[in-house]
Amino acid sequence: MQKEFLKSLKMRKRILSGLFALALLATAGFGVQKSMKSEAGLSDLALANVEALAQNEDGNDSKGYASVLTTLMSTHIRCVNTIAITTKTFNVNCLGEGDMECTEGTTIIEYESGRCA
Amino acid sequence: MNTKVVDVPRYKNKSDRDNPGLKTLYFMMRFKLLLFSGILLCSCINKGSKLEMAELSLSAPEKYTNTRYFTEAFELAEIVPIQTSNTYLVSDIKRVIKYKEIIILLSGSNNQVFIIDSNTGKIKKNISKLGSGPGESRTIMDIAFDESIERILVLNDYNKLLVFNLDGELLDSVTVEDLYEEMTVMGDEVFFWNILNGYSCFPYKLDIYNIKNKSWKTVGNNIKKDFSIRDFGRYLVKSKNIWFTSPLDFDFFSYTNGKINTAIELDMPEKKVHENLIKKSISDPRSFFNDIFTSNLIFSINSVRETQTHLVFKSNLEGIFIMNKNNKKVYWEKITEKKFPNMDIQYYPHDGDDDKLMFILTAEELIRGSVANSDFFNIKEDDNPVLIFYREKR
Repeated sequence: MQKEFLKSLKMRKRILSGLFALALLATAGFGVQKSMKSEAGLSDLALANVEALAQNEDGNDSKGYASVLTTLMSTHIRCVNTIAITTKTFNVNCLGEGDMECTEGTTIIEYESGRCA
Repeated sequence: MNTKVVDVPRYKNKSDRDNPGLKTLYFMMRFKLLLFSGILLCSCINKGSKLEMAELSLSAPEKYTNTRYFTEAFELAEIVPIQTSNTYLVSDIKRVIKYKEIIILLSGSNNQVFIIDSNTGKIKKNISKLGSGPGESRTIMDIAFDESIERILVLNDYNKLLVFNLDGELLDSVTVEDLYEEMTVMGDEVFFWNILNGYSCFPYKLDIYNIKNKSWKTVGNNIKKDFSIRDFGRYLVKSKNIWFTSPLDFDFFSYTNGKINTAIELDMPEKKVHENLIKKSISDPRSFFNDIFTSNLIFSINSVRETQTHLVFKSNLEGIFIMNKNNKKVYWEKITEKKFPNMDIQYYPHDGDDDKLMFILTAEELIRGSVANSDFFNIKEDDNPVLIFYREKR
């Protein structure tokens, strides 16, 4: 009877240890996958951003930056046939020294923002 | 062989089986390892974005109104049309510091630091030099002014902190470890905010350099944000206190008693930017901006200034927010100045504890709004802007 009880205890211990190890592996695996995903994604996205944002002003591509910032610079609203047209200007700034490719420039976005007199 | 027996909980009496408390306890003990793993897993997933719970939660109106609270609380103090000359061109303003009778101004696009007479608007000196030699800069990230010793601090993207006197003489050069976005100074301490790395940043911590004993310390959390869009304005501003905010966050942080406090949280959940849209900011910024502005979303609260009775700040949407510190009421208004009718004036925070607020009126806007006013200042389209200061009414 006691032998059976000890055997059952051993089994439970093994099962619990197994489950714990499985949970730990899943946790670690999830972390690694998440970190790899974000690294790979960022690199692709970064490249896309440079292409999408930069409208080169002087035609010179520059290389080797540490960071890129895009800043909303100014907002202008004008009235065209009672429709308000908002224009927003953004500057791309390439900063520091590093491995990033970056081209400084300006992006302009226009959209209808309502009615005007 | 010595076998270690795990103490598996068992019911001592038959009646214990019906006791819900004991049942739960036993269940938890049996599966404590699994629970521990679950907690570990959750802690990995939930990275968290806040330093701590905000001391005060504020509600703001859904959109800006014409309540005219601003004109009740503030009055026009000074109008400073910055003098224009071919050698002294202010492109876009990045930092304005007001000290006694001078204004120290960082002009962003051309990386120039001007010292301006605040009474006349005349540019007295340009202290920055472009280049890669000692004391020279390529991009000036920010400037600050140490009032106690009257020194201008210039932070550039060569990771150098340059120290100049008001005559523009270089006195010192300190190497900083990282590329910081903004800087300010209070007492003997220089505060560096937001390390930039690729498209990411670390906006919840401050690295602090003590000028006197040349030592460094760090306060805050090392939480990373993958977001590289900034609004017009400043995120770290010195007024009554040092206040700072983070992109994509509606919390306001202040530095008091040697630590960062999450002082205020703005409760505007309907204005927050969703995760999918944030990802678009890097992959498809044009689409990101379209969604932001057509849906009136806020990606940035910034430019926080504290006066005697108000806390003033802005967002990427039009208008400014004014919080009355006494009754905690928030107003969201679009400001106009009757001296310059039909013209847009833009709030921009200046550094200085003077109970004032500054607005920028561009020469282009001045001409667009009224020919009479441009004649008054004799301003042409590409001339330097006009700075308009309001003071809090007593």
